[in-house]
Amino acid sequence: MKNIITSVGLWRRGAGTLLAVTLLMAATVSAQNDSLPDVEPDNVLDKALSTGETQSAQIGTLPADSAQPESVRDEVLPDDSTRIKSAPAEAVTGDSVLMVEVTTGKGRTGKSFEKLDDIEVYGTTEIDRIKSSAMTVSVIDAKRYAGRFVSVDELLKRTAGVDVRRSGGIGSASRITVRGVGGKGLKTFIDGAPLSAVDGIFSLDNLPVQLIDRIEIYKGIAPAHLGADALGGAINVILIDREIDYFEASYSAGSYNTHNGVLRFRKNWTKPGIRLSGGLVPVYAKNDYKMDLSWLYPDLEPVTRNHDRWYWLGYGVGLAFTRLWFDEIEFELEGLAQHKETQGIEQPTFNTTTSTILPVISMAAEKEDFFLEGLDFEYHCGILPLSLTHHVDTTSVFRQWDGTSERVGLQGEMDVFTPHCSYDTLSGTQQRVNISYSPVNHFTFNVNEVFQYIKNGPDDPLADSMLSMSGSDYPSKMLSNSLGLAGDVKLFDDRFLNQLILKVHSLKTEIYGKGISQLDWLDNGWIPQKETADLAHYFGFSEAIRFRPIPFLGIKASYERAVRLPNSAELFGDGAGIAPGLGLKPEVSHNVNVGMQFVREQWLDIPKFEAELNGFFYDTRDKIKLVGSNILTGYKNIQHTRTLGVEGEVKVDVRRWLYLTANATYQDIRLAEDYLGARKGMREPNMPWFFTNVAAEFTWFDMFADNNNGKVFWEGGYTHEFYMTWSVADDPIDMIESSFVMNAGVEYDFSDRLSISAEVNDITDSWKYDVFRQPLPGRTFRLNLHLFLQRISK
Amino acid sequence: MFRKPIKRTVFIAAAATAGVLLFSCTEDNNPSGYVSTGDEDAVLITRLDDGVSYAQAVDLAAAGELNDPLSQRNATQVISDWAFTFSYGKHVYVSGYDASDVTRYGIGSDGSLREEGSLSIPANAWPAGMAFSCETKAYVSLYATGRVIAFNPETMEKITSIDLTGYAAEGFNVSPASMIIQGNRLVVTLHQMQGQMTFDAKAHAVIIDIDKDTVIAHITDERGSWAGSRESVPSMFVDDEGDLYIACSACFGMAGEAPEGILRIKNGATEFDEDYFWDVSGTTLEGEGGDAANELPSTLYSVSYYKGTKGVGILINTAFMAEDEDMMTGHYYKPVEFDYAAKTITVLDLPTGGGYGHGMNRYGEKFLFAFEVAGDENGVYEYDPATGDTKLLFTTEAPPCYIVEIEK
Repeated sequence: MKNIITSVGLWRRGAGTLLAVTLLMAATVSAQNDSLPDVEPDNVLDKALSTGETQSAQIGTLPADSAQPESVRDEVLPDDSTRIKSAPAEAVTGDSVLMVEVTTGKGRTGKSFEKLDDIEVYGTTEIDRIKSSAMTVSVIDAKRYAGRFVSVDELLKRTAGVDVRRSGGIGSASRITVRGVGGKGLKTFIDGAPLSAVDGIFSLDNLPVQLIDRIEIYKGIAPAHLGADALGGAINVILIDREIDYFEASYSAGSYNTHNGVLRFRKNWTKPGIRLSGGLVPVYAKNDYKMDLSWLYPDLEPVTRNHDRWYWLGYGVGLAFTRLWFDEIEFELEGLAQHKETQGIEQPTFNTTTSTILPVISMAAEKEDFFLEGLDFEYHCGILPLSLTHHVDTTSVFRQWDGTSERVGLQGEMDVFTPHCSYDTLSGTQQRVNISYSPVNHFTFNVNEVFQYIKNGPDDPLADSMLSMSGSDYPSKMLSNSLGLAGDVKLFDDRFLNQLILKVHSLKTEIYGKGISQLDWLDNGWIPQKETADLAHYFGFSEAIRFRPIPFLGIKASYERAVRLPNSAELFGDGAGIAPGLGLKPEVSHNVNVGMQFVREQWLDIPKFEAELNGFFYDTRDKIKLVGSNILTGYKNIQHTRTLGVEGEVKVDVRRWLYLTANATYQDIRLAEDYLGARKGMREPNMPWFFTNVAAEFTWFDMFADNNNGKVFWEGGYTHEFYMTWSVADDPIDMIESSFVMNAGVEYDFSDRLSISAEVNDITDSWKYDVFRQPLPGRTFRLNLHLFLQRISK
Repeated sequence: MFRKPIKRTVFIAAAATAGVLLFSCTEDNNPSGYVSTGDEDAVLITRLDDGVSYAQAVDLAAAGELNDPLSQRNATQVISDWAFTFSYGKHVYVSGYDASDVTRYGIGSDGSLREEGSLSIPANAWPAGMAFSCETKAYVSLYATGRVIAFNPETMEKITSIDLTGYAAEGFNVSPASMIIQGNRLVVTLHQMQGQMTFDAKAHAVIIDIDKDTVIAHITDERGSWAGSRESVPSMFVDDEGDLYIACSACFGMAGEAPEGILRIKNGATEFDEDYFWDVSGTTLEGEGGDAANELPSTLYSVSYYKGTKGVGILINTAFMAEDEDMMTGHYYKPVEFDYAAKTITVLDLPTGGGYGHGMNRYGEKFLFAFEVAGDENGVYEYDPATGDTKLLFTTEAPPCYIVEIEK
C-alpha cells in the first residue's frame, strides 16, 4: 500500500494542442459498479488521486489484504497533502473491490462521508503540487464550476493579481493582465501549447468551463514547460482528460439571446487499448443590450447594440491508442468556425463582420521510462493546414445613432477612410517536446522545446485597389524556437526546493513586399519590397526557491529575467500607416517575487485554512509601444516602467458546508523615465491598481435526497477608480469610476449526473463601462443545464 | 516553535507593513506650474503619446517667467485624439478626428477654460478646417464625410450643411480641408482621397457663396497637389493685394511624383492663376542649416502672411532629422521665413519641431511656434519678423502641438 500513499503524478498530460477546444478527454471515474475495471489496483488510486478534488468515484480491484491499509487518519502529512477518502472494500465478484472517493477534506465533493470513514489515504493533488512549487502560481479548479455558465475570463478575474477588462458582451475582446502584464507580454497556453499563433482568432474565453480541468496562472515567472517568451508570467489552461466512458451535454441560456452548448463523449475499448472521443461546442450570442452613450452624446437616450451577433462552433474528434509502445498516442482533428459582427460605439455599424475557419490536425504521444527508468517523454505536433479569415468593412453611408445618415463614397465603417474585404490566410505547425528525467528522488531535470512555423498570407484586394498598395499587411513567415532547461532540487525532506530555469528564444522572420506605394517614404526602404529576414537569439533565466520552516508554512522567493520578442506585426507594420520596426529589441523585465503560503487543515476547528501573501517588483525596459507622428506610426522600444505590488488571498472551509474566499491586489505601475510628455512617476493609464474579490459558497449536502446537493453562491468584486489617460491634469475627464459588481446564484446537483443552475451577474446593474469606456451589458441572467453520464469500460 | 498568537501577529504585521509601504508611494509627480494672471492671451494645446490632448489658457508673459516647464495640471482634457483648434475673439473652438462635436470654450476669471456650448457633428467626421464669417456664422469642414457645416459660433447651432461629395474625382472620396473667407466667398480646399494617404495628384478647391451657401466654382490645377491642410495649421493666406495663396504639400511632401508648391487665386478670380506657381521643393534654402537641408526636397507644411510679399511658415525636410531619428519620432518641422514673390526661403534660428507637436500661428505682429523638440526643449517659441529676433518663451512638460491667440 505504500506506493499508493504517495503523492501523485507529475504534470502528465502535457501534450497540448494548438486548439484543443473540443477533444476533451478527461480523467475521472465511474460511480457505477455494474462491471469491473480492467486496471491495476495501483492505477485505480493513482487515477483517482490525479483527478483532483471534486470528481466522484472509481471502482478498482485490490488484493484482499490491501483493502485495509494502515490507518493514517487524523494526521497531517508534511507535504500538506490532500486527504483521500475511500470506501471500504465491497465484494462484487471474487476479489475485493475498492470504491474510492476523492476529496481534499473540504467536504465539497457532494459525496456522502458516512460510508467512507474506514480507510483514509493521503496523497497530493495536482493542484496542490503546482501550488507548492517555488514559483508564485494560482490555480483555479475549474471543475468546481462545471455546473455553471461561467467564462474563463470571469474565473480569471476572481484571482489575486489578475485583472480582466472587457470590451462588450459575449464574444467580445478582453484584456487579461497578470500583475499589470498583459497583451503580448502575457502568454496563454492550452495544455502547454502556446496560443500566440492564433492570437486574434482564438482566445481562452472561447473555452466553455465544462472542458477545463484547471487554470494555472504563473505570476512573474513562468515554468520551463511553457515554452514561449513571456514578460511577466503565463496562463496555462489544462483541459479535462477523463479516462472513463461518458456522454456529456450542457446547455446554457443567458440574457441578450446568449446560448451555449457542449456535447461530447468518450468511448474506451480497454482490451485493445483504443479510445474514441469527440465534441461539439456551439455558441450564439446576439448581445443586443442597451448602451448609455450620454458621455459621448449628452442628449442621446440609451441605444440598443445593433450589430454584435456572434456565432461560434468548436469541434473535434480524437482517436487514441494506449497499448502500443507509447503509453498513449493520440490523433486529433479539431477546429473552429465563427462569424462575428463588429459593433460600432461612436456610430452604429451595419456591415462590418469577420468570419474565420480554423482546422487543426494534431498528434500527441507520451511514454514514461522512455528508454531509461525515470525518463518521461512527451511529444506533440499540431498542424494548421490553412485557416481563412474574411473581414468585411465597407459602407457608402455615414450613419449616426440619432437615425441621421449621409451618403459618402466607398469607405469603411470602422476604418473610415479605407474599405476592406480581406481573405487572410494562416498556416503553420507547432512541435513540442518535453523530456523529464528524475534519476533520484531529489532531482528532476526537464527539457522543453517548442518550435513554431507560421505563415501569414494577408490579402485585401479592395483595400489594395483603394490605396494602390498593400492596405492590410504583408505576407510574412515566422520561425521561432523556445528551449527551456529546468532543474529542480528538493532537499531536507522536501522542505527546501530550488528551481533553476534557462530559456533560449530564437526568432527568424521574413516578409515580402507586394505593392508599390505612392508615398516616397514607403518606397524608400520603409517597407521592404523584397524578402527580408531577421534572425536573433535571446536568453532568459529564472531562479526560484521555496522553503518550509514548518510543515504548513512555505516561503518563496524568485527572480526572472524575462524576455518578450517583438512579433511580426511589430516588426513589419501593416504596410500602410504603421511602418516596420526592423530594429526593435526584445522587451526585457527583471521580475522579483517574494511570498509566503500558509495551509492548515483541521485547525482551530476549521476543516481547512489557506492564506497567501505575495509581493512583487518588476523593472521592465524597452517596452514596445506604438508611437507616431501625424504622418507615420510604428513600434519602438520606448517605455520603461517599474511595478511594485502586493497581493493576498485567503480561502477558508469554515465548515464542510461553508466556503469563504477573499483576495486583494495592489499594483503600482509607474513610469521610470519620462516618455513623450508623460513624466517619470506617473501611473500607467487604463490599468486598475487596486481590486479585491470576495466569495461565499453554501452547500446543502443530500438535499431532498441522498447524493443530491444544493448550493448557493455569492461573489463580489471591487475595482478602484483608475485613469484612462496619464494623470497629468487635476481634473481629468477620462476616468473609469470605482465599481463593485456582485453575482449570485443557485445550483442543484442530482447525483453528479444532472445539475441545474441559475445566476444573476452584476446584481445591482452597476458595471456599465470598462477600459476606454466600452459599454458593458450590466445585469444579466443565466440558466445552465448539465448532464453527465458515465460508465466503466470493460 | 511559535505559539499561535505570535504567528498571527507576525503574519498581520508583515501584511500591514507591505501595505503601508506600497500605499504610501508618492502620488503622480506633476508639480503645478502656471498660475493664472487673468490676462490670458493664448490657448495652448499639448498632447501626450496616447493621443489625448489638453488645452490651457496662458498669459504668455507670465508663462515666460516660470522657472519650471509649464505643466498640464491646470489644463483641460479636450479630446482623445489630435485636437483641432481655432480661435475667434475671446473664444476657442476645439474638436478632434474622432470627436462627435465641436466645443466652444471661453476663459474663466481664474484662467481656466469654460465650456460654453457645442456643435454636434457626426462622430469620426474629422473636422479639419474652420473659417469665421462673423459673430453669428462660421464654417467647419468635415474631412471624412465630404461636408462643410455652417453654424452659429455664438449659439453653436447648425445653420446648414453643404454637401461636396459631388465634387469627388473619379475613384476618389472628397475630403474638404482648409478654409478661408474672402468677402462673401468661402474657399475650401479639397483632398481627393483613397484611404488616408493616397490621393488624386492635383490641387482641388471649391468656392462657395456664403450668402447662399452654394458652390460657385470647383477649380483644379495640376501644378500642385493636396491643397491646404487637414490639420488645424494655417495653410492659406490672403495678402495685402487680396490675392489668395494656397500651400500644396503633396501629402506632407512624401508623395513621390505628386507636384507641390504654392498656387495663387487672384483677388476675385474663380480659377487658379496660371501665371503664378512656386515650386517649393526645388527652392534653395538659406539661413542656418539650409545648405545641408538642400540635399533633400522641402515642403511648405504651414504658411502664414506677414506683410509685403513675406510670410512665415513651417517647412518639412527630413534632412533636419538627427541621424538616429526616423519619421515616427524624429524632428523635421523647421520654422522659416519666405518671400513668395522672390520665391526664397530662409531657415529661422529656431529648433526643429517633431511629429508630436509642430503648430504655428500669428500673434499680433509676431509668430508663435508650439514645438515638440528633442531633449528638454518642448515649448513655445516666438519669432519677430520685424527684428528677426527669435526666442524661447517658455518650455512645457508635454509636447505642445497648437497655439492660438485669443482676445484678452
